[in-house]
Amino acid sequence: MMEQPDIGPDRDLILARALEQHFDTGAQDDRLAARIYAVIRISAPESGFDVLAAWLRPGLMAAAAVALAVLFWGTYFKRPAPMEAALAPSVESLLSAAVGTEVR
Amino acid sequence: MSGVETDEVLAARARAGDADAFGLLVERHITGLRRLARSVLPEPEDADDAVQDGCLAAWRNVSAYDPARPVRPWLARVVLNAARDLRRKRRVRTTEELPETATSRGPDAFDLVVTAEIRARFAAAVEALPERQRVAVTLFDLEGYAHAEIAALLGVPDGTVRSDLFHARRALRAALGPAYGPRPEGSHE
Repeated sequence: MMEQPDIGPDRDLILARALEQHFDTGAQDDRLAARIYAVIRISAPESGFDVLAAWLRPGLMAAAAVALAVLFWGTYFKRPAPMEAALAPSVESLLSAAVGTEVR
Repeated sequence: MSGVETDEVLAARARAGDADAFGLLVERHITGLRRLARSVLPEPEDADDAVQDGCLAAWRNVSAYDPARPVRPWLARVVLNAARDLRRKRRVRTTEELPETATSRGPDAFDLVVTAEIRARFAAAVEALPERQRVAVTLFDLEGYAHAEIAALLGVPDGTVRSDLFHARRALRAALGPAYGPRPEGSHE
């Protein structure tokens, strides 16, 4: 049987060795570490402001969309201006003209 | 000051924007992170991509790291998440493939009792395990994590980790068969 190093009693060292061989990635560890190091060298960590900005961006977009919708709604379904309302004949005067009686 | 900086010291330097310190952390834990990623992704290239994605994500969000907590489980969690994300993308491709089990290392005491057939059977048993069991047994038996650490990392109760370990070990020991030999003194599930 294989020689077992002196580590925790709960660990199954034979399984550990078998798993190590199964997952063994060998000498490529250094290469991957170097690759990751090269990537992180050219990408700065996010500051608190970046995180806040990323969180705020969708909120700002949503607020702009709502503002546009409100603007569109207000323009499309615009209520008649006071002058137009004053010039427009009332229902009562039209009815009285048709019937020929004065509306009190 | 001692010659070797602790993980926590390196993490504190990384939080301050020191890429060299973060690079040292990655270098220190790269083997364990690769094994963890391999326990989720059968393809070594995918596992390496996940490690890289995870490490980059950890670096980008290093300001969110809590200095009061140990570094190794934090890195493991980020890499595990990256590996799971990648596995979801690769699921269709990986379900029909079994990984190669050959190793480039020279023979040692373990190799002498493990034949190619047992090795293939073991590999199939590893891949047949549910992902959580595979991750749990890898973290516990190979990486030396405690039950509680694994439970926190996987977001499951301690008892679930113990149950996962029991089932995973039973399946893997059965696959090793005669190569497994007698249980070591004092060991338990």
